[in-house]
Amino acid sequence: MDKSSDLIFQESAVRAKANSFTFLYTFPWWALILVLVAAFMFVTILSDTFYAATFDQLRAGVALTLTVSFVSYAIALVIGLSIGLIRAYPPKPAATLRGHVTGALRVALYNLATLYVSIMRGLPILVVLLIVAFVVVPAVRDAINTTFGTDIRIRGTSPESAIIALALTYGAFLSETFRAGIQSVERGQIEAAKSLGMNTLQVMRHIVLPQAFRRILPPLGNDMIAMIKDSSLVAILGINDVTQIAKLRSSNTFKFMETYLVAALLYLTMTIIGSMIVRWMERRLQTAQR
Amino acid sequence: MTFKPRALLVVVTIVALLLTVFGVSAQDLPDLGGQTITVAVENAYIPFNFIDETTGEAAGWDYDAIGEICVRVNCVPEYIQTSWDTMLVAISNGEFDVAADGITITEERDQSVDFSMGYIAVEQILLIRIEEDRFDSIDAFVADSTLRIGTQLGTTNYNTAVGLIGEGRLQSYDTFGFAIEALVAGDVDAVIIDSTSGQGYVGANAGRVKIIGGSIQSDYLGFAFPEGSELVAAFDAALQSMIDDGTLEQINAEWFPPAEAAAE
Repeated sequence: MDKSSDLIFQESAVRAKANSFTFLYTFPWWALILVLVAAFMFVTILSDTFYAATFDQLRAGVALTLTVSFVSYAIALVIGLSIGLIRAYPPKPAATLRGHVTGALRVALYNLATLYVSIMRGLPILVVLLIVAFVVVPAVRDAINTTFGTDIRIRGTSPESAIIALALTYGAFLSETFRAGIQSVERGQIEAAKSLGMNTLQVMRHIVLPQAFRRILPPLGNDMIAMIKDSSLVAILGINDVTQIAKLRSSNTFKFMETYLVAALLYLTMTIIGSMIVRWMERRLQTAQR
Repeated sequence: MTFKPRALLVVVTIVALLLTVFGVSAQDLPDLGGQTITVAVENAYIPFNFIDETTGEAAGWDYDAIGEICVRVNCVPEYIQTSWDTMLVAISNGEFDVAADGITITEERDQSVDFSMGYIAVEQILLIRIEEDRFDSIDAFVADSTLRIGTQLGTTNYNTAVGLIGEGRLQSYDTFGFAIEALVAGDVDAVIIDSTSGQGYVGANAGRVKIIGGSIQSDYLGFAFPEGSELVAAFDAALQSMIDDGTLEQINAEWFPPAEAAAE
C-alpha cells in the first residue's frame, strides 16, 4: 500500500465530516426556536380558555394596528420621496434672470423641506402624537368649520390623527433615506442620460429612481417593520389597537403576563411576516437586475 | 437654691401634656416605630394627587390624609409616582406598601389586594361640555347612540360605562386628564368619573365642563395594600380616629366641595 492513497482517504473522510458539520453551522436554529415557541403559544391559546379569550380580544386590534401602520407608511413614502427629491439636489446660483426666478422658488422649497426634516426628526413620536391629537387637529378643524361654516367632525383622538402624526414623523426619516439613495446614483449617469436627450423627469423616472429604490429597499423595509412596532404608541390616544386592548384587559383582569405574551405573539407574527415580504421583494429585485 | 413654684408648675404642665399625647396614642393606635412606607400615587387624579400648577409641587387629599395617618401611627411616607393601569398589580406584587389614588373598593380587586376601610362614599357622575344642549340627563345620553363616553382605563368608571352604553361608544385614556381634554376638544361627549374627582375637574377647568344627572353608581374609596399587609390595621385605626375627632372631615372639606364630603 502506498501512503498517498491512504492520505487521500483520510482527507476525504475529514471533508465528509466537515460537510455534515456545515449543516449544523448554517442551520437557522433561531427560526426553529421561534417556530417551536410560536407553536407552543398557539397550542396554549387553543387549550387554555383565558388565553383563548385574551387572544380573541387582542385579535380585534390587529386590523387597526395594520391599517394605521400601512396607511401611515404609504403616506410617509409619498412625503419621503417628495422631500427627498427636493433635498437631494440643493439649489445653485443661476446665471439668467429667469433662472433666478425658479432659483428663488427652489431655495424656498429646499429650506422649507429642510426645516420640516429638522423639526420632525428631532421630536419623539409620542410628543408628536399628543400635539397632533390635542392641539393641531382640533384647532385646524375648528378654524375650518368657523371660516367656511362647514361641519367637519374629524376627532382629535382618532385613528386619523394617529396616521397624520406617524406619517409626518416617518416622512422625515424616509426622506433622508430617499435622499441618500438618490444621491448615491453617480452624476455621470445623469449627464449621460441627458446627453441622450432625456429631460429631467425622464432621467429621474428611468435612470435615478430605479437604482436608488433598489439600493434603499433594505432600510425602507426596516422602517416598515419599525412602523408596525411604533404604531403601538397610538394607544395613548385611547384608540383600540393591539396595545390599547392589552392595556384595557390587563388592568381589568390583573393578568399582565398572559395578556402581554399574547400581544407579543401578535406583534411578532406581524413583524416577521413583514420582514419575510421585504426579503422576498429584495430577492425579486436582485433577479430583475440580472 | 430657692424653690420656684412657677417652674414646678411649668414642668408639671409639660409632663401632663406629654402624658396625654403619648398616653392616648399608645392606648388607641398602633406604633409603626418610624418605619418608612412607600406610597404609590399617580399625580394625575385631581383632587386626590396631582401636581399643583402654581407651586409645581405634588399635592392633594392623599398627601394630607396619609401625612396625618403617618403622624398618628408613627411612620414616614415616601411617595412614588406610577401609572394607574399598573398600580394595583404592582401592589398585589408587593412593590409598594400602599396605593393611594381614590381607589374604589370592589370585590374583584379585593381578591388580589387588601383594602383599608372605606374613607369616603362617592358617586359616579357624567362630566359634559359647558355648552352641551343635545341632552340633559343620563337617560337621554344613553338613548342617543351617536354620543360617546371617555374614561380612564382600568377604573370602575370604565366598567360602569361598559354596562351603561357598551364598549363601542367608549374611549379609554391613560389618565383622566386626557379624557377631560378630549371632552373639551369634542372627541367624546361626556366623561364618566367619580364625583369627588369630577368636582375637582370642574374646579380646574372652570367654565369648560359641568356635571349632569344624578348618581350612576355609588361606591366606597379606600387605600390598597398587598394581601396580608400589617399596615391595614394601623391605617384603619388611624382613619377611625380621624373620623372620630373630625380631622378627616376637615381634610375632606379642604379638597372636596362641601356637598361631597359626607364621609362614613
